[in-house]
Amino acid sequence: MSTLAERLHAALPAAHDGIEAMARQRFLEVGLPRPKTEAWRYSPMRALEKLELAHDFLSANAGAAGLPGVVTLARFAGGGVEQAVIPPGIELGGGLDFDIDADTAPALDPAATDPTNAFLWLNLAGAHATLNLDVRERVVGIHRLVVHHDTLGLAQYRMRVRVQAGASLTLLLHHEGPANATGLLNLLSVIDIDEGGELTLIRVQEVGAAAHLVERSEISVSGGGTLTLAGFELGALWSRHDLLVTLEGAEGRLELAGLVALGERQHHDTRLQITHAAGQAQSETVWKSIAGGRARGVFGGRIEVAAGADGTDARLRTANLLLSPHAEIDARPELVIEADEVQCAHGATVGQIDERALFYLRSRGIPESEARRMLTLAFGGEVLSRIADEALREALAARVAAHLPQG
Amino acid sequence: MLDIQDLHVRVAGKDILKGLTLRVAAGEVHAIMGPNGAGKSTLAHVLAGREGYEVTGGKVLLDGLDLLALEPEERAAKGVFLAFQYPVEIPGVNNTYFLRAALNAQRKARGEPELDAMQFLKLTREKLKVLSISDELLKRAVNEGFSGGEKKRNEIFQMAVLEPRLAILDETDSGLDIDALRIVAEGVNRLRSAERGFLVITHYQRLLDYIVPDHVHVLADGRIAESGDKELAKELEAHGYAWVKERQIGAPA
Repeated sequence: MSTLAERLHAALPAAHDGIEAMARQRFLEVGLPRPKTEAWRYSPMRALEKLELAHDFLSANAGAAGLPGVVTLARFAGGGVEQAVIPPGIELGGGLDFDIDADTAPALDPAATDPTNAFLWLNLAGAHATLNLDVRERVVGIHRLVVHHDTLGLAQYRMRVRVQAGASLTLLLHHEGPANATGLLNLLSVIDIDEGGELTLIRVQEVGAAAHLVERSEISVSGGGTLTLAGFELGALWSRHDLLVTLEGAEGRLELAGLVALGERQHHDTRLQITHAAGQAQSETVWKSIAGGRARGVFGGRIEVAAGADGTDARLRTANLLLSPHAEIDARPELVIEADEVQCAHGATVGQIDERALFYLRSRGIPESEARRMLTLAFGGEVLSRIADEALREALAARVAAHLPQG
Repeated sequence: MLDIQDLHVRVAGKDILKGLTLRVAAGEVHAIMGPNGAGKSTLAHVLAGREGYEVTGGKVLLDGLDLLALEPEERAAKGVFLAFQYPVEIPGVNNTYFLRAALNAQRKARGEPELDAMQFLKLTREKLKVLSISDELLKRAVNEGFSGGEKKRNEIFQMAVLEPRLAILDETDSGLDIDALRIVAEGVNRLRSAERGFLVITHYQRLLDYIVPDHVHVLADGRIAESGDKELAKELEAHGYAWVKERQIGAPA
């Protein structure tokens, strides 16, 4: 049987330009992460090795139920992208060929960002569809981009979001898909927030329970820009998310919150890197994971404060809840500070359901399983509470509740 | 109604209750007094079903039912309510949501129809007033950031909503100033009824000025050392717990 790299290579659509041909070559040269590759140590390729990567997409279907009060902009599915409603203030382009040599898209060039990352080269070598979203005004309401994971083989998409100076958008990135999609989805998002721009990002990953997902999000925030993120990691059998956020200018602000809920044999690995490249910027992060069954959660949260980034205020906290003796969570907050005048703090806790709280609820008549559910959901409440829109918050609370592991 | 027969309980390998016998009839208020370490809180926790208590002998019947065989939530549905000495803070669980879930779980277990949000609101309105609990407190997480007095009032409020058959108050007076004590006692007194029994566990006689008991028992060294009426509490206050011990030693064999 051929190697995983060979099968991924064979699953690519035909190269249609020199860049794609070059990227294929680079993919093979770089090779997939090896067991000792530090960045992938907790997510070894072993889990992907049995993937057959058939050249098939499942026939189109509706996917997950919609969310209230949300306007869908576009939907990736079946190896393509369909645009839906485009409100004023947003420009949407599809089927773009990113020119990696152009100044406009340096972040899409793996050679410039992470040259040893095989999945980046793979994405460049043959994305099925791409999307370019340009936000030019303050846009009201919640807008959604859907990524429908419906492949038995390899599906690759790329998206680029730019929030122009002074513009704002609430964007729901909704990953979903059918339970029988077993293939690998390889996603790349590049998001730029220009000066004074504001992006509220709600990321809901609830792809099917047999799915595999590798995703990389690179976000840059210019001076005075704001990124607010509430992320929910619920679906997939095996998933990995590299989330890289850079504060490029003074008065930039990040508020990041993540909730990961894993059960059965799910594996999820988030690698968050926050770079304070400029001073006088703030970041506040809370990342929470719940693991039951034989699930494995990994969270690497690294804050880097560059030399000269004085006046940085960076805080990162991770809390983790184990519901079963066979579940495992590895949480590693890291601080690398090269500036002088900074305020930084990080902390990590791992615990179990509070037995005193459990008894209190039961003593009032609430059955044990329901009491455990209430306490587990309460653990994630801090992240859910970041969703300002009440109807959406309640709908997402119901999705989270439905995904909660049973211990 | 409640029939405790020769109860022996061990905690972490140590015998705490050593043959406790007590009967509470419906409509009665029994005060359990005693020095620290006598086993008062152990009795409260064993009746409510907390883990970590090993019953090594005796039995407990509630309306003829073997209470010790039931899970804590089953005991609650049968009408056992424990007002905690230290009510637990539960961040992220809304107070109103929690109490409605509790009431409906009990009703469901008893085969009664569940209450919707409106019906529940109506039920709670009046009871809130008695205990001077603001609506704002109900919107917060269970006991989170509550003052000591607010926590104890919240316990009695829960009791008022759940309308138990047997109410156990575990040192409900501890940490309360005199005003809060009055409010809590008023809440309890309103719940006194011919259908309901109370076990009021306290270290001090003070609470019993406000909740006047029908019977007073002194718990010492794991069993009831002395029983009497409300005058016994006053004697204890005057002479201290050592007095009970002396009387026992001095009593003819």
